[in-house]
Amino acid sequence: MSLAHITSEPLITGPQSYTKITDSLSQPLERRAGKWWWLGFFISSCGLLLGIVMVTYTIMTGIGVWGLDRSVGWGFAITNFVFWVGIGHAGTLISAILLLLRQRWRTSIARSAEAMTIFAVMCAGIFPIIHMGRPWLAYWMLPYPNSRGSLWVNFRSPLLWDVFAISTYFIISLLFWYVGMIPDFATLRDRAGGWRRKLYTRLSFGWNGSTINWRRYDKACLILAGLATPLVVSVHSIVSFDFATSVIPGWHTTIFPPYFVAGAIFSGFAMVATLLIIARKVMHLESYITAKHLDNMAKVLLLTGMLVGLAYTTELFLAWYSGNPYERFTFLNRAFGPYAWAYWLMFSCNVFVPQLFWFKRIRRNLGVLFVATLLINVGMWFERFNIVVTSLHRDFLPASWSFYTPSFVEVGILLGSFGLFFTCFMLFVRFAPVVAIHEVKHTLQEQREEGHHGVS
Amino acid sequence: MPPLKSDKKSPPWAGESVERRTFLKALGVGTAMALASCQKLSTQHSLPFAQAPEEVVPGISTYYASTCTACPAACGLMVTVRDGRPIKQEGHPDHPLSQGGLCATGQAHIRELYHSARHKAPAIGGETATWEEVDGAVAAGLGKLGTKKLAILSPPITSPTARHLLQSFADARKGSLVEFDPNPGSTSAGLEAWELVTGRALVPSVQFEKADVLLSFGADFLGSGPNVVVHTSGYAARRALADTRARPPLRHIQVEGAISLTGAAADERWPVATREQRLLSRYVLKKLSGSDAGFSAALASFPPPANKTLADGIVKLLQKNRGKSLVLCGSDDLAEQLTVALINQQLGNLGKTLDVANPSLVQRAVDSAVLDLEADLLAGKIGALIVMPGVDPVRQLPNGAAWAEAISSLPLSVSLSDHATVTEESCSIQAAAHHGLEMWGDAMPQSRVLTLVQPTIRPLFDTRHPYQSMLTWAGFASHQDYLTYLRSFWRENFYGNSPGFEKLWNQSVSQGIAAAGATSTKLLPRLAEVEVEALLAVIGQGIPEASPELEVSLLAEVSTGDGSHAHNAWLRELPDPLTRVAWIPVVRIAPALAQKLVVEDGDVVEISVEEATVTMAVRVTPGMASNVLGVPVGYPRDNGYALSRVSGGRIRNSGLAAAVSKSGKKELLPEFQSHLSSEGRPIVHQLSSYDEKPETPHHVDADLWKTLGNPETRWEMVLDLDACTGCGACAIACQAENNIAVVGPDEVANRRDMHWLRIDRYFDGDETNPDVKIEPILCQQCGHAPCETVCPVLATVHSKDGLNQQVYNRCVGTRYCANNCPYKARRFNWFEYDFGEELDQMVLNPDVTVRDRGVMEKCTFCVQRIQAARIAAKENGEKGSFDVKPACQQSCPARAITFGNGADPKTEVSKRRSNSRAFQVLSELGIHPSVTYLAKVRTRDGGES
Repeated sequence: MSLAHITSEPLITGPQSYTKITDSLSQPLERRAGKWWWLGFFISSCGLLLGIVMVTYTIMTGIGVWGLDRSVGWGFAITNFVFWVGIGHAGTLISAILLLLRQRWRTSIARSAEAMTIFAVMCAGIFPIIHMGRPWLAYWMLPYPNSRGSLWVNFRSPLLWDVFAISTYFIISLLFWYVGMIPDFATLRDRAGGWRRKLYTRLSFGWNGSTINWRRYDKACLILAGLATPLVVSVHSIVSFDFATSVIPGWHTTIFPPYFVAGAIFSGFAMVATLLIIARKVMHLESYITAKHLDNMAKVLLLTGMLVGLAYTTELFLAWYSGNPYERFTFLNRAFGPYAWAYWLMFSCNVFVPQLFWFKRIRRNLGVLFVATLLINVGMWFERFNIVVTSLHRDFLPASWSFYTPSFVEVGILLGSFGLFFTCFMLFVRFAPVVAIHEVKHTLQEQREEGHHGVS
Repeated sequence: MPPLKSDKKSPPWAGESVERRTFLKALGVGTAMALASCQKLSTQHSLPFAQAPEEVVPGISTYYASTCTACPAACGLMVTVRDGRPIKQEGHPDHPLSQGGLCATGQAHIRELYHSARHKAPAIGGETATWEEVDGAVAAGLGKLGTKKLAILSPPITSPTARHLLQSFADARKGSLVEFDPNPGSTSAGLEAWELVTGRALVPSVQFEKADVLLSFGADFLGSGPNVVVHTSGYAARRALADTRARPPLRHIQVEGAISLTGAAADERWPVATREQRLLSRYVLKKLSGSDAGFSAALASFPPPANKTLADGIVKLLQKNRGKSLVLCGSDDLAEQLTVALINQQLGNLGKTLDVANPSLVQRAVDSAVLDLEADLLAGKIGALIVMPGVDPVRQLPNGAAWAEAISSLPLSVSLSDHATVTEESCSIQAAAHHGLEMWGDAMPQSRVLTLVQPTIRPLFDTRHPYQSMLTWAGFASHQDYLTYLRSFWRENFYGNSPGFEKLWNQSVSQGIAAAGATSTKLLPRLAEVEVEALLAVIGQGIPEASPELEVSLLAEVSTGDGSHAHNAWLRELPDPLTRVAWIPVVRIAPALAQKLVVEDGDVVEISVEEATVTMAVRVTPGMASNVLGVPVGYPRDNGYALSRVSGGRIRNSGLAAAVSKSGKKELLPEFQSHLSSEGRPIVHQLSSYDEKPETPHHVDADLWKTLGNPETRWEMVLDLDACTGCGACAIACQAENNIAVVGPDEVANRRDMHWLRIDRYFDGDETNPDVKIEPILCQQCGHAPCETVCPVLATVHSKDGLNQQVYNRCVGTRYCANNCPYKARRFNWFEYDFGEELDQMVLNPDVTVRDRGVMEKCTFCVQRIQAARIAAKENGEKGSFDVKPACQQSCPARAITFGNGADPKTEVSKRRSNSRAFQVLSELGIHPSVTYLAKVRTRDGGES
């Protein structure tokens, strides 16, 4: 049973027809880009350029231009990596799991959520490479046949598991996203002329809208959804193994896999919400991305926020209950040590802020929702920072304790990753339909059959 | 993929980088030129220590025995020479005093041979000159002396031949030879006191092995005093006797103002300022002298020390151990030194724990000599001044500025040094001197020990042996060179013109130690009469009415010492064992004083003594007496010597009344360690008796993995913390052996030091008088190494003989291994580090790869030495375990390190591992470290031993 039935609230508002849907969703791509788009694109690409400059500087000079030291070997880069992988979670969750659960409200938001996944995983994938001392040898992480005798990769290393997990996730997500866009590319092809027609002809793979096309399309989507579903759980579990399988107090915890997955869904949904609030306003998609959608997302945020809060408190409890002095110290140090501000910032943003979503008025207030989702993303970034940095900076031997402060290069690379993400997103909204046209039509049909208004 | 262009972050002292090929080309051409441009010496033969190969085999090292010239202590040296190039100097295992030990300065001295800032040619008035011009100028200057005098200023001379030469030179010109000891830990007052007591200005040799109680009044005999290597060796040997139950535990009580390495090692410490130390010594003497009316009268005016109970405890302890006790003193005050000498006399220690008949010949300088010279110099009575290598009077004397002015107006002033000094700037002639590894020489650090210095490389530049220069200038032996002079001096004085001299000489050169135990007591100063009344008059003085509110205590750090090696980057990057700060001088103050002055670590303060002021950053150091400021002297720029004063005919470097003001500036400290305490963690243990066992955390050693490797070999190490003083010799030995990069102060401040072996220090307990726990940490070569499982590319793997290997050229630099190392023993190449100019790079060990940017590195247990020993054992057909000494073990003066095959129960390492004091750091993680520590013992049972 779908949510739409329960709430009896339409998922598509306003007087609608198929033609109108096609027109309103295709026209933004066919018009000349507006000044807001250009402004957004300019800012994003400036950020991307900054990131490129900083990464180049790092590779030319050495990781020493970052703020790391002999005790804190990972800092911003790995924090950003885990953060972006987390952001990349919502897409697949919305596309795959909600598809399998037949949550129809997902149709309006799935496309952009999937795009976001792709771009976020791209951002994430950069960090493990650039954080290497010798990134030009990054291909050594791949188990390819080589001429170095029996030299192979270490299958016991969680970093290697990451390589497989992330690349699998990226490939499946990319296929899922792309296959989903083929019918829409065909629609765009049919409406376009000139170079755009050539482009969409290529992209739509000769789609002709026949029943056979549709049958195969549905099957492909279902198979990909089935493949993607376990990945939602596995990717972040494996990322969490980077920490969980180590011996460092604060990393060495069995709670990490579920904790990381919950956190990933939490941050991913927050990011989707942030982006959709902007997109629906700028691209006039209020009829397709309704307050109802955002309301549902806020509920998911509330749930996952509480899961994350449960994980935080469980960690604290177990640190005390374990009786391990190093473990206890690490958590006391997180809460009251030199990085206490980061811990409480994380705690407030991730546990206290979502509590606002108990109230429908807040869930429906776009301004508050927007600020709250931004805060959640800040909080989730700091969650990863806390895990990575506060565990390392004071570990077993107090003689090695140090204090990590990021350098301007690391901040530049973080901004650069946002630059890359938003540059890709800006290009996406110009060249592909942000809302899945054919799926919305399908939803409209179902809505009609159920006797809702909005039929013209 | 071609290497990316690197924008190196060069350390400030380093020059441009060179390509390997360019370097090799330049090396070849440079060496050829250096050889071609050598001075025209007659052929001189030096003989290798062990066997004489017919010719040098490329890639095979030859070892030459010699003597260290880095300081007057003259420890035995074994120099590794590879393809004609000395690459390492370490302790001579057969040397009767240093016994294979060598301090950090000695280890690092080889770095100065290849220092790009070395003097490469003589100069007159700053302009490069030829030796003929220099000799002409000196001869002209000496010829025009007229009524004015010649003065030769030298550091304490341990070489009998050089002493004879310099003295003859001075005598021939009716001049004076003045010895000056800039080390604040080696005071004139000590010599003078012993002169008053024994009739001879020589300090008795200390026999730690014979003492059960050791009381030290500020004598830092393990850290900065003269003879640290010999003292460390003896002290550690004495502590080891307690471990084998051959003797009761040594009770070492240290009374001092500024915390020292010796204080850190002591069983008990009294952190008190100068006045209180003196009151205590007088009180002890008064009590020990008992009914002696003379002493009672002389000491009557002094109040008892503040902590009378403890003082009485000490008296009781000493009384119980007459003839088995040892009282040492580091004071610059004659009365105090004399009091301590008399305490020893009262206890009957002379001839027992203090060897008066066979004194140390390392301390020779009486301050009055240099102060008289200063008076003459300022009065214009000196016409020529020759400054020998090892002293820098303009920097090291309180009146240095006046010296500089007076020297620059002298008609003839010559500085002999192998590197730039402050004094040299005022001198008219800079007679560039050889490095110690380029010259012949001898040393007699004790009357029964005579050793040789032999060159291990042709002089690299147009420099000259300083004594050769003196010989030439003296003019009475212009036909001979210094080697001939040295040989004839030996022949006459030590071998009685024996016909077999040639053979004995060759044997001596080969061994580095005089053959047939040749010594001569006639070179010692004669004994004078002792007047008891004079003694009593002295000890009745010297205690101020009240302690100054703040007092400065000047100290020589383990790393930079008196500053003569402050241009050595290895030493500059060696952190002080107590402050753990490298590169910059820091003033050490007690936490209570920091609170009072409202300053914290890194705050820059101005310290003034009378009109002199120095500016230094603060380092809050627990264990400092609350009104004492510990100021290091070894830094040319922020010169601590400026605060020393002259009073009573001696140079004073402690108890100086001082004022402190905040400058408002703050400096980022280049520190290796920020945290003070061990937080009560079971990572370093301390016991109160040799029968106790350390309380290690309980853990079940469950194992899911198969045991890997070779059951016959597992390399293991045992580190005895009861012997270890934290002197840092091992860290420098490791740096020299393993081509460890110097990263510079900024990178140290960023906590990116590269030392593979670091010495952690914790101040535990009461911060006014903490237990100092010293724990060297190196890669523990874990059996189940956490680093190995996490490396994605198998760049760190386990060897069959239990080593945790790092494969540099496979490493991609994820740093995951370093994160997962519980000891944080791994070091990452954050940049492409600069090893200096071509010349500087000649010090690199050809057996060890220089690591590139972006790879991880760490202690290898000197795998290159293990491999070499394995090959040698195989060639010799040896079965079973073979002996290897890693660099750190080889030169440890305390012999705190044992290394060997832990799988063989017969090896020393296996035996020591089963000591009851054994513990392993963090073994509760189930990682099976290969390093075992033996806990330090501090006996504090109120003197009931």
